[in-house]
Parts: sequence; structure tokens; C-alpha cells
Amino acid sequence: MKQGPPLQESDISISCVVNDSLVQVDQVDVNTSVLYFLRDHLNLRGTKEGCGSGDCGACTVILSDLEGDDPSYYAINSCIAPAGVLNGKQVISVEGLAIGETLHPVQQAMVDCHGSQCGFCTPGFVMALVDHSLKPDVSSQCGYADVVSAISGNLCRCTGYRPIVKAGMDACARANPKQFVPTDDVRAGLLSGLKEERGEQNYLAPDTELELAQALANPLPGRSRLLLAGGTDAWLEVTQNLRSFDQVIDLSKIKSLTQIDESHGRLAIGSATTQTQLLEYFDQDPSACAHISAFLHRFGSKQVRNRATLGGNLCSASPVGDWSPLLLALDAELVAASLKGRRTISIRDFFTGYRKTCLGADEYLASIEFELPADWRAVQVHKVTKRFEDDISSVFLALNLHLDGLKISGLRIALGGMAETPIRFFELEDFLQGQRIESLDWAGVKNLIRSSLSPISDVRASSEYRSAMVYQLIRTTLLNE
Amino acid sequence: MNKKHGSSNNQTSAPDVHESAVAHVTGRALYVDDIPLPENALHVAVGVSSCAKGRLEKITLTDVWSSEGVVDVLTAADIPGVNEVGAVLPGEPLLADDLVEYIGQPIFAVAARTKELARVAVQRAQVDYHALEPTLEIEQALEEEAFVTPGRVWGDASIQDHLSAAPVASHSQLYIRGQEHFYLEPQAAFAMPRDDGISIMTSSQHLAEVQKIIAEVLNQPMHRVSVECRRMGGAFGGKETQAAPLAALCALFAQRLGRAVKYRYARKEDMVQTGKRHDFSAGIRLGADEDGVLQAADFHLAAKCGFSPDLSDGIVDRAMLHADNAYFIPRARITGLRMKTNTVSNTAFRGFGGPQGMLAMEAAMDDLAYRLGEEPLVVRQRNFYREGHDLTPYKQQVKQLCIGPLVEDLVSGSEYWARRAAIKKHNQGNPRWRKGISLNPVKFGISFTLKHLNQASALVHLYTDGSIEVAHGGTEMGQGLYTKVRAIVARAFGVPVSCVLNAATRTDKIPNASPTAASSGADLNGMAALTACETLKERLQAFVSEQLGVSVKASFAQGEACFYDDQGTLLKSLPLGELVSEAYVGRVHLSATGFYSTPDIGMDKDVGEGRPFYYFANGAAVSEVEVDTQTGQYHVLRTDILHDVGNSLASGIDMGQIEGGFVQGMGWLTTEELSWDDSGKIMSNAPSNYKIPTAHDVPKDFRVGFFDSENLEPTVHRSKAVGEPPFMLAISVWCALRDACASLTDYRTLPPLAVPATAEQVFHCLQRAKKADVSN
Repeated sequence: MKQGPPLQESDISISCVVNDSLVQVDQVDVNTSVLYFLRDHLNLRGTKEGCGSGDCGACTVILSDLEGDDPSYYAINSCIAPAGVLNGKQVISVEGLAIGETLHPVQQAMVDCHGSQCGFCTPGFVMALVDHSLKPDVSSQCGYADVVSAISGNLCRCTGYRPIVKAGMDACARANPKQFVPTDDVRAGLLSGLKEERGEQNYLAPDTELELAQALANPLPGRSRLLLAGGTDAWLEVTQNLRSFDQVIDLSKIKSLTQIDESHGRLAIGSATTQTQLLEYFDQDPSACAHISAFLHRFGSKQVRNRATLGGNLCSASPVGDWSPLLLALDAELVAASLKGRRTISIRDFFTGYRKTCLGADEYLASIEFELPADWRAVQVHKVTKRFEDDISSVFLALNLHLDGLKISGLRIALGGMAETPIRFFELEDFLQGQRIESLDWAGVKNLIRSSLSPISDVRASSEYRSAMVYQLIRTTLLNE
Repeated sequence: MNKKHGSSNNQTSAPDVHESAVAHVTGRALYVDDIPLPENALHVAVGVSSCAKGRLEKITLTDVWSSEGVVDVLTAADIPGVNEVGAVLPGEPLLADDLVEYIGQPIFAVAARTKELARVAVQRAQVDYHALEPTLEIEQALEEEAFVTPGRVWGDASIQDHLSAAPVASHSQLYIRGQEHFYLEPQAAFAMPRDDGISIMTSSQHLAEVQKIIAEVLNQPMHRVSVECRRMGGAFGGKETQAAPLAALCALFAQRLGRAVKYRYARKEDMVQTGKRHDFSAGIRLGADEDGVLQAADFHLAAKCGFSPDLSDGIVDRAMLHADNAYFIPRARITGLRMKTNTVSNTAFRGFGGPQGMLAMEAAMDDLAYRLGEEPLVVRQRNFYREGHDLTPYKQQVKQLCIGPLVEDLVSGSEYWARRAAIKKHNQGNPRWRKGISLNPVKFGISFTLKHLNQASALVHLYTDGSIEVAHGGTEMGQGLYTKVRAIVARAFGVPVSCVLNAATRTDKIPNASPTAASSGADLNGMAALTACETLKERLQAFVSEQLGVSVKASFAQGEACFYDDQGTLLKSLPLGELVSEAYVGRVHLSATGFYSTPDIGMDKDVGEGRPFYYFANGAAVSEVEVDTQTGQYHVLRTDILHDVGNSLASGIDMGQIEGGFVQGMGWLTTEELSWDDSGKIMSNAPSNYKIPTAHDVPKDFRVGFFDSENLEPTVHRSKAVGEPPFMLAISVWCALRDACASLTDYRTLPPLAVPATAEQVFHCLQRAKKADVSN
């Protein structure tokens, strides 16, 4: 019997399906990403690291939670996902696509269309396109714009993309959507393997909020821990800031945190709800929610949206988290929970400084709630970026406007990218309240912006441009220019 | 097209499909970082300067040594040979010794058990500096007269008189920002000690230089260092000189410790520690007659070179040699200055200074047209190199005058004038969404301006089963060089490309190879390979002549070798493999080298006259853009390109170079913005804050065609180089954006637009246009 070295303090074991095979590996450091689990532990080196921060897509792999007979699949950036995520799941890498000598239709189309030059980004593009081919409605989603959207999280520096888009348009509808569903034997093996899992304290993925609250209330003495849901921001602490943690607490498996509930005119969104879930929700009524949906299509990339959560976007308290201004404009309430109970915090009070929130060390964000707008069209968002896709906002403006005829009867304005925290622009709200649209004092608006805001100048935009955009976008929205 | 692909042979079998395409899409293509390591291999990280200019006072490495997993730590004092990794000219230490000259400069290096532990360890050093006043910008360097190499002034000393005498004068000033390469594969190298030396795997465009630098650093003869590169995950010039320091550090540790050592940059390290495309400050004075026909021009080009010479001397030369772009200028003066700044040393990047020289001229031509109140395209066309007006400012005759006809084809094919009119009409009725259009020519000189680099060797082996291996000094970075050379060899022997393997590039197979750069890869290495093939074919022909006792002529086609007598009677025909087997038994030498050096080139760089280029590659593009005048945000609606590749060696590959070059150039001029803070620290250090184009940014309507003309010069199959020239087609996007902004003045004035034209910069340009309109 194989006797390995003793389990390190931060080691975990991984049981998952990799492509079509059951894989069980012990002694994986909890700080290992899915990418390096594949590359270093399994010697699957087709998946590449281009940036290590989820910005280039070279590391794209496909995951399945293996729920039901017809499991669904979704692409992720393996560089910013902890390996512990894989437990009980299936991961498909570029090595698992061809069947014997026969290339997957996406691979063949990439060859035929000259879709690769240096080849380094290619596995990532292939995976993003294969992911697209596994969508239930793919046959009606192979137009130019659909395929461009499917590869929005992938960078190529050689081809200029046209041949890759063509490959996707040619091939995505020709793939077998059932190709990757594992056999019953493999699934049964996975279930029995999971029972023998070791090191689960180091990568704690509780099923219930109670377990989560208990874990938070009882930190392991002297041991560092990282709380994450999707990890698309949190895991950068490991990959970019070179930190290593003794324990990771993953709250993505808690069902009650991943629900969207609509009742009594209120929307309650679980904090671990992914951006993809939110996009699907708002896409149900595309005409009414066109603004929100369009913004969500530009939120990160597909790979990021599949992991990034609403709670994560808020709790990272980044001044450029796009949800914060939108929720400020909706005057949302946040429900924080711990063993001591639940409390409701107005989003206005949630952010206390640069990347700081008012959550206690034993608390977690449970849900985000707000009154559903009578008409979503009253809520407008504008995102100004250097690049259209997958870019951090220079300015993000959310505006919730109610008109009584031509008179402004209610207005909330919130901004991201302007200061250390997302801000509600109360001064301007007061200034505009009760005014008539056709006779607004635009010089006054400009002065107020100048006197109330002192936006930062940074790598994304100058202070001057940011101020100009706030003025311009408010004008555009109010005058419907 | 043959669509059969096998996993046993990762190479594709269609002649114009990338030879590694199947390996790429299956993940089987190995890059340096993918090579399995021995158990005890180590990983490198470097500790870098946090001071833009200063003396190193004290370096305390105690906590570095004690950091987990650290096995060895190196400073400049530990280098057994020369502490120098400068390319062509010295001035770049491997590890800073005494003086630090930019933020990010390596000071010491660590070898540790994992790359993560190495990266953590280097942060634990305590470095004390005596800070000195840094020079951070071109303007400041001009004031201080800080140069990395002496400047050059070419041309007419009395240019001022000619400019004054011209009826129309126009002055343009443009600051052109640089560009991060953002190859998807970060720099990487791997060293394995051997009993007779050291083996290096590197992601480098210039293996001979990596070998030479390592030999000098280790104080070993070059024959003890062998360097290999199978492929790079993109390079674009960024791996011409920048790969050497990583390989040298791996070699140093490997020699000290007797263990395999790998060094792979994290993306952020790469973006901080490697050079970029040069910023240029350009001033152009044009003198023309009333029709806009150029009479004289004065160009002043100053480049931000960073702290060391690197390749800047040649880069500024090439900018100077492309300031004319496609236009005949009877009298010109061109000044090129190489400014020293305390920033990372800027380096080769696709176009090598050509794009900056050309962009400055294209902006100046637009300014001249506005000065005259003429359509820019009309003014351009009046000035193209043409019969009787074919001498460049550096006195090289442009022999193949294809830019005029090429542009005429593009004007009609793209319906330029109808669209120009439609856009003007559209703009009158649309206060918010303004459109712009521009057609810009490209003429790009082909050859290294450093004459001795224009040489290449190849090695071709014939095996007894009929398979062929070719090796040459060129490297594969995605541009399809191996695919093209493979096709040349296959064509020479009349066999399918699947019979030919282009072996990984190695310094022990091909010594002293030039960098794969200046678009010259296929011209040089393809011709060297063809020469080797011709030698082998002559040997086989002589062998069969002797075998048959009559003088025969050979023909190699469709897998068969056929031999004919003087009357053209077929005497013998057999598959290549059988012929090679017979020749082997007949004791024929079945391996041959080929050598090629570009004929008839050379220039006097002090005077600025001669024939630096063997020929010119040409192209032109029309781009149409739509701008949101409220925010400055925009998109490219349509681009039409006609490009001259001579007789294409592989049409799929060439098309990819044109489209990819255009999009990369578009990134340079639009969303890719390098920025530094006041201390000299680079702020654009990650893909989250440096934005290269995504698929969404590509023109939705993108029409690319080849201009049908073969090379006048006897290049390999009369093809033309294609790597760099298409990059500059993207100038049409920048000019179109400026045109859209000018619509706010009703085309009376052309407001300045910064480079890159980010949405913010377009917004500022629009504001200037609005002000100009009010003052009119």
C-alpha cells in the first residue's frame, strides 16, 4: 500500500472527475489553484497560465456540478479558482476533448479556420467555445455576436480574432452536448471516494448557514483563513499578493445563499448567487431590464460571471465593484448573519472605507434585498471603460429616476470609480428633486459636480474625464439624448 | 484541403495550415513552462529596485536566505563572468551593481523549491538606496541632453530655406506612446546542467545571443552552452533581447548548484521588467505647393529609450527610414535622437520604430490637407512614390511602384468616395453619433538595417524512408515560419508537407543565427532551406546519372523523383524514399546545409544614404469609425485592407499576419495605454489595467485581400515579408477617429488627438473641436 508523506497542516484531498476519469489526490496544498492542480498534480499541461488573475482566459476549463442525469456545464478561469472547488465535481480540460484521433468539432474548426498562431491562448479559446457548444440553446446562438460574447473573457494577441469567431460560428452547433457526461461507474466511484475525504477542515465547504456561522464564530487559533464564494477577487490574494492561508471557507455550496426570491414586491438575492444566475434572471424580461442585462453582459467575462457572486462583489468593497452603485440607487438592504442572529444594514452604511465593510469577523453577508422597481426602465446604469468588454469601470453611474410628468418626483444617483468607496450623490439628488426636466439648471449641476466630487486620477482615467462623464451621463439620462 | 489529422503526428498536413495547429488545439504543444522538471528542480525570482535612479548603499539578504524553500541567492558579485546582458551594445547588467537605473531593475536573484516560495523570498530583502534625481520623460532628457547612443541627422542641411520657399507650410507635433507586447506566454527559460556544459530551453527569438550572453556570464566557451526553442507563445519583438536575462540566471544557478532551474515570469513581473515599444516625440514641418505636392520636409524624432541602448539605435534608424512612408519628398532632413530615461529599456516591437515614424507622417499629411482645405486622400495620392518620383530621402530607389495602383484598387473596392459622402451627410444630421473614415498607405522596408544580420543557414536531412527534416536558425513565435519553410522544402522535393518536419531551433544545429525579426524569417531561412534542398537534389541527380551512365535531369513532383535524358525521355522514376535508400547504399551524402545572405544592400548611417532595404512591402487600409460625442467612446464599423505579400508562401498564414497585425496595431492606437506615476513606477502592470483588444473590438465588417503582384526581387518564390508591415495598417483607425472629431468643426480644422486614442482622449479631442468651431 502506498504510504505518502504525512498530511501537511494546510493539505487537502481532492476527489473529482477529470475529463472521463475518476481522480483522487491527497496532499494538495489548500492554496493550490485548479490550474496548478491540473498542471502540477495531474501533469495536464494543456491548460495555460497567461496572467494568473482571470483576465486572459488561457486557463479556461469547464466544470460541472454533476447534478442530475443531464448535468450542466460552465466555463471558469482555473487560475483563480481554488482546487478545493473540484471536490465532487467534474472538470473538463483541453486534453479531454478529442475522442481518440478525432478532434472535437471546435478543435477541428479552429484548425481549418487558422484559429491558432502561437497557440498559447488556443486551449482557452477552445474551452470557451466548447463551453458555448454545451449550452442548451446553442443552435440558435451561433451568430457573430453570440460567439464574440462567448469568447469575451479570452485574449488573443496573434490572430485578430476573426478566424476564432468563424470557428465558433461553424462548429459550436455541431458538437455532441452529451459527450462529457461521465459514466455511472465513474459517478458511483466519485460518491464513494468523497466519503473518504481528508483535510476537509482545511477547505471547509459547509452545506448550511448554521455550519458556516459556527465556523466563523470559532476560528482555528493561530490559523489564517480566507472566506470566499466564487473567489474571482478573493483568490487574487493568493495568486497576486502571494499570501497563503491555512484554511479556506467556501460558502458556494450553501443552497440558501444561492437563491433569488421574488415576493411581495421585493427581491431577495442570496449572497452567493453568481453573476450568471443574475444575468439569467434579468434576461427573463429583456425589454424591461435591458439596461441591467446589458450591464451584466459586460460584467467581467463569462468565466468570471460563472464564479463571481453578488455578495463577493459587495464584500470586497472595491470602489470599482459595479453592483455597489446599482444597489445604492435601489437603496438596497443587506442582511448580515452570525450565530448571534441576523441584522439588516442599509447599503448606505455598508462601506466604511477602501475595501472595508461594517461586517464583523464572525458575520457573513446572507442576502441582498430591495423593493422591486415598478418599472426597471426607471433604473439606468452607465459603464464607462477603456475597453468595451471585461474592463473595470472608470465611471459607473446608476440612476433611479421617477418622473411626475416632466417633474422629477424621485431620484437616486450613485457612482462607482470616483472615490475610495462607492457613493450616493445626495447633494445632486437634492438639487434636482422637484425640478422640471425641460428647465434644469445645467450650469448648477456642473458646479455641484465640481464642488462635491473630487474623483481620483489613475491608470483608468483622469479626474477631469471622470467629472465630465458624470455630468454628461446624467444629462444623457435625464434628457434622453 | 486534406483534413486528416492524427494524434501520433501533431503536425498538420495542409500546406497553409499552421504546422502546430493540431498540437495547439489539443494542448499537446509544449512551451518552456510545460516541460516536465526533474524532482529537485529549482525556481527563480529576482528582487528589484524600488528606486528609479540611485546608488545601492546596502543590500541585506539575511531574511531572504532564511525564507522557506530558498536554496541559493545571487548578487552581481557572484557572477563568474561578465555582468552584462546588453544586446548589440553594452550597458545592461544582469544584476545591478552599485547603480540602479529604473524601478523594477533586478538587484539579486533567488533559487527556491517552488516559484511561489521564490517570489515570496525576494520580498524580504532590505535594500538601501542613495536616491538620485531620475530622468523620466523625453522632454526632460532633451533638456539634459541624456542619450543612450549619439543622435543622427540625415539629409539636407539647408532644409529651412526650402521649407520657407514652399508656398504652403504645415507643422505637426505628436507624442506617440509605446505599447506592451502582451505575448500570451510570459518570458520563460529552463537550464539543465550536463557533464559537458549546459542545455537551455528558452522562449527567445534570438538563440545565438542567449547562448553568447550565457557563455559570457558563466565565463565558458560558447560550445558548452546549447540553446533550444521549439516555439514561443507569441513574441512580437519582445523576446528578441528580453529573454536572455532569464536564461542567464537559470544557467548561473544551474552551474552553481548542479540542478535543473526554471525561471518563468508572472505576468506582472513581465510587464514591469521587460521593455516595450518606444514612446516617440515627433515634430514634422512640411512644405508643399498649392496642390499639396510636397517640396520639403523636416522630421524631428526623439525616442524614449529607457536606461540602456538595447536595440534603440536601430529602432530610431528605422523610424527615420519610415518617416517618408509612401510619399516622395524631394528634399528632407531627418533627425533621430535616442533619449536616455530612468525607465525600463525599451526594445523591439513589431515594426521596430517604423510605426512611429509612419504615424507621425500620416498625421502630418492630414494636417497638410486641412491646411489646404483638400481631401486628405487626394493629397496623399498626389504624393505617392511614382514614375520619376521614386527616390527616398535616403537615396534608395523604390523600384516596385505599387502603392499608387494598390490604393486605386482599394479606393474602388471599398467604395471610398461614396462612403465619404454618405458619412458627411450622416454627420450633418447626427449631433451625437459621428462617423469618420480614413485611407492610409503603408510602405515598409524589408531587411535588417544592421547589414550583417541579413544572413541565414539551414540544414536539411533526407532519411531513407523518404521523410525529411529541416532545421534553420529562425524561431517560431506563431507567425508560421516553420509552416512556410516546411512548405518550401516539401515543394522542392515534390512531396506532401507531412513528409517534412521542421525541427526545433537549436544553436548546436545552426550556429550564429540572426534573430528572427525584421519580418525577415521566411526570406532568409526559407531561401537557406531552399538552397540546401537544391544541393541535395543535385547530389541525387549526379548519383542517378552515374547509376544510369547517362547525364539525367531530375524532376521532383507528387512524391516521385523522375529522371530524364537530354531528349526528355523518362529513364527512371521512383518514390523519394526509394531514391534516398538507393543513394544511401550508393554512399551519397544525404544531409546538406544551405546559406543565404541578402544581396545588394547596405547604407552609410552617418550620411543617411544607401540601400538599406532589399525591397518594400506595401499595403493600405480604409477604416470607418463611429464616435459617441458625449463620452468619446467609439467602435470600428468597417475596415478594408489590400496588402502586398508578393507570391504568398502560405495564404492562410499570411492572412493571419495581416488581420492579427492590424488588430494589434489598433490596440496600440486605441485602448492600450501605458502609464507611469511621478516616481517612475509603471502603473499599467496587469491585464486589469492595460487593455489589449478583445474580439468585440475587431471591425464587424472586416474585408482583407491580397494585392496581386509578385516580388520584383528574386526572393524565395518571389514572396514578400509579412510579419510587421500590416501592423501599420491600423493607422487608418486613428486617422478615422480624428476625422470623426473634425466633423464637429464641419471639417474646417483638424483638432489634435493623443496616441493612444482612448475614449478619454477622443473626448478631449471632441472638446477641442467644439472650441475650435466656436472660434471659427
